[in-house]
Amino acid sequence: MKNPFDILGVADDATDEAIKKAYLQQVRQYPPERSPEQFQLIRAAFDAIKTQQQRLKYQLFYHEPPALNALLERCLQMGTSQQRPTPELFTQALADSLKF
Amino acid sequence: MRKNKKNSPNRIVEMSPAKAADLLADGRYKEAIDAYKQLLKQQQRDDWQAALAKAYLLRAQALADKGMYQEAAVLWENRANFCQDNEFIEHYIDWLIRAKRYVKAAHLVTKSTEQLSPAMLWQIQAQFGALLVAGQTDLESAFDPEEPLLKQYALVKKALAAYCQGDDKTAEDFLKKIPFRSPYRDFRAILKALIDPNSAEQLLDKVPADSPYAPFTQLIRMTVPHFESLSEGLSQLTPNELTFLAQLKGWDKAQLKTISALQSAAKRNSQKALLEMVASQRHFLGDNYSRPFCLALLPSYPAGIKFYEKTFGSLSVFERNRLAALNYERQGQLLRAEKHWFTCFENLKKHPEETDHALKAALILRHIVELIEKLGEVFDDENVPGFLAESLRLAPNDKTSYLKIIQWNKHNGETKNANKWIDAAVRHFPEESDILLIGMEWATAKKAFKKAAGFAKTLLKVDPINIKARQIARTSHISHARKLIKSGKYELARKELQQAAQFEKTNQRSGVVEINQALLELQALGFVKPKRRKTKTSPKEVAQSKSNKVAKPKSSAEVIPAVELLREGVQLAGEGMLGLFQATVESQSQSLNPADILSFISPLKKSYLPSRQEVLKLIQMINTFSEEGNTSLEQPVKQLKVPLTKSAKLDFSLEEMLSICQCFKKLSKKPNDLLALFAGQALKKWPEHPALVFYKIYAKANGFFWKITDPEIDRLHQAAETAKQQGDKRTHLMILEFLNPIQGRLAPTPFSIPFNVDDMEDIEAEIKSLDGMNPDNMSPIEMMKLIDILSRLEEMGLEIPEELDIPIFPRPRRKKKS
Repeated sequence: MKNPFDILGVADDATDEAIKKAYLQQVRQYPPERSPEQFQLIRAAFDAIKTQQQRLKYQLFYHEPPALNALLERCLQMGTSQQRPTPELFTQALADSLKF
Repeated sequence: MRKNKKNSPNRIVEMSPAKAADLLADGRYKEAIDAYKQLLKQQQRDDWQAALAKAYLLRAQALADKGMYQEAAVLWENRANFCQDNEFIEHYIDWLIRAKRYVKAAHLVTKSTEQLSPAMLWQIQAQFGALLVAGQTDLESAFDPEEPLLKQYALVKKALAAYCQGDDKTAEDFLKKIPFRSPYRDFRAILKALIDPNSAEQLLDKVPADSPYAPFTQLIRMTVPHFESLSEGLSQLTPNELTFLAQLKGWDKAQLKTISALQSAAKRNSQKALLEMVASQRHFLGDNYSRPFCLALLPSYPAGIKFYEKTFGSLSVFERNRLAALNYERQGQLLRAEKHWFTCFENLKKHPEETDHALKAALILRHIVELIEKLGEVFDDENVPGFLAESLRLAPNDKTSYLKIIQWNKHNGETKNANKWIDAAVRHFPEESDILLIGMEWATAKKAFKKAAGFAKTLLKVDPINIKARQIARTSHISHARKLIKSGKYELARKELQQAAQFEKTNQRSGVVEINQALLELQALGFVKPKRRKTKTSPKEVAQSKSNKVAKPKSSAEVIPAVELLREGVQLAGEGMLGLFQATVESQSQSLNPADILSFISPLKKSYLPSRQEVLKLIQMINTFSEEGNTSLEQPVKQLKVPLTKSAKLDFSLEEMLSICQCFKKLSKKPNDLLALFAGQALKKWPEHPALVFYKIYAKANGFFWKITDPEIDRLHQAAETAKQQGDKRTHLMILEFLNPIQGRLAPTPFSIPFNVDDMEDIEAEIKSLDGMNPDNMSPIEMMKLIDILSRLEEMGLEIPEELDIPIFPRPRRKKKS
């Protein structure tokens, strides 16, 4: 499972305002009526770290080991320069994917 | 290796039609083919020819199901040659495509268009379209240039080229020219999704699961932000697909290398592998991410601490203890965890000036209390209030800690401390409903009515519809008014009653306020006077009390308003016995003689029969007064004995009867005729109902177990057993407690029981009555009587006489505080 900071996309030392802003941004992207499960995750993450006290509690007492998936996804989202593929690469990828 | 023909079944067994049919039916298609070929050599029969054709087709399908498409195609060709027809050609075309014989398939499609259904034709053309886009350009020669498949392919190429150059507008223009029913329909959705990632999910959802582009669609989905299972999907990609995805995502080579390393670590599936892997990639991931990630692994992998320190530097004493505490918590060793947390706390205390140290220390103390709660020892651990108090000193803004410390003190009878913390909590959280509620209930229990009313009013400001607050506010004002009346402070009492009236809804007035106002005015006028307490009876006071008769008012006009107010209150309380009851109870509460007050109210008519609702309302009133701490209800109820006796035959439900009996039982142990009456009446309708049996016998015995007969004991045991079987634990326990007074009496109480001379005299008389009895040969009643005497002797702290010294049940031990 991702940690709350990762879910909201904020740094460990983010302030209350930054966290709230990130939370509202996420909620706009995943509103409860459209993405109920994702919204639950976002809400739980916000509740876990919304105040300084909550953040300290989390940092002191949370002891579930971080999942590899969380690390991998963070790594995977670290792309800097997105590019358009060449037509050749596109066709090669499509050819590899075709099951016939 | 050549097959040994001598072992071939054909050469050994002569084939029969039945055997051939069996082979076909059994799914042994290869053998069936050989069998029918053999038969057809003997004789050309139509049914055998049809069977052979079927065998060819089924075998071809079976091979195709195993992915052997080339072989399946060959078998179809064999069948076609044999049958001289092209039936099931759509399968053949599909197998050719899957066997990568695209051009042949394409030629066949061109020739066989009429044999294919429109849906099948579309599906096959979609496949060819995908192949063209995927670079199978040799297919172009198999189709007429005017074929839509090729004409639209030209649009697709241009759209793709424009997209790859970043010219989205041109790409979209070309995509718009592709017709809706084009074989490139799904490709259009995919390219649009790539151009507009915000709409990607919606667009990709339009690609059906059986589309040739379906697997490619899954790849494109991975480009969408926050795609779930991205890491799982990556491991299944080919190098081309991974490169394609990497370009779209903007991943560079170093990133791809890290991803690969992470996937390898995932396969090893250990904390050690993960820790080492992240540490090795920390230059790419950055120290700011790698360090906390690795630190977070240590509570579950404490053996990694050395490696962590070697990589990232030494851990502080605080951090080492924190990790140890978390590790013990994970193992469920909470006491050890507690020890390390305390070391953390001590460590923080040394530098209180540092940022957040005070708050951290407070959080750790609260966490320690949570661990003690998990151990189930919170009320036995005398450290708990200290921890909570210190945590509040360090960080006062925590309502939960206040509630816990109040609860701890209440539970352990630390009244003074509970009071102190309630006051502190209310000061700190003046608008928190749960704090105010506790304050309200506590003040009411201590008879600090003014305080209770104050809390209630504050709570009503925060929560205007809180019924409990409204009730307590009203009751508190009335109770305080009574106190003031007793002190002769009538004006202040009037104000209190006016305030109490504000907490009653206009259309739901209970009459309590009016009755108390009336009683106040009657006392203010000197018309009635409160009775003196019996305990202080000096001769002067006795003489004075004798003169405490009802005095005539100076003028009857003076008393009329008060009397009218009294009558109004009685009417509001309910006609008949309800008003009378209310007036009687209120009179008693103000130490007035009820008879004086009731003389102003019309008495109940002899023919008066209360309704079922009135009786139930009365029970409710009695219960409410009990909850408020009123213990003088027996007499007011006794005055209603006549109408209540009449009402016993009314049609009450079982639940109502039980509720009535329970109420009367609580009122008094002394001859409880009403309880006996109602229980007896109920038993006529519900014979042998356990609770009713109990109430009946209890009432008859005036609540004393030694007054019951042997048959009654048996009946009660039976009732207890029945209750247990029915799942009525409450009745079961109630009967057992009555039958086994020792269990009820051995639990030590926190309060010392005052020694009562009267009790001692009773006991001495009872001990004497046991003279001459043989302890080994006593009846159950005698035995129980003996046990009761012994219990009472022990409670009084007196020695048990030797002749009575027999083993009794041991007292249950109270858990020791650490």
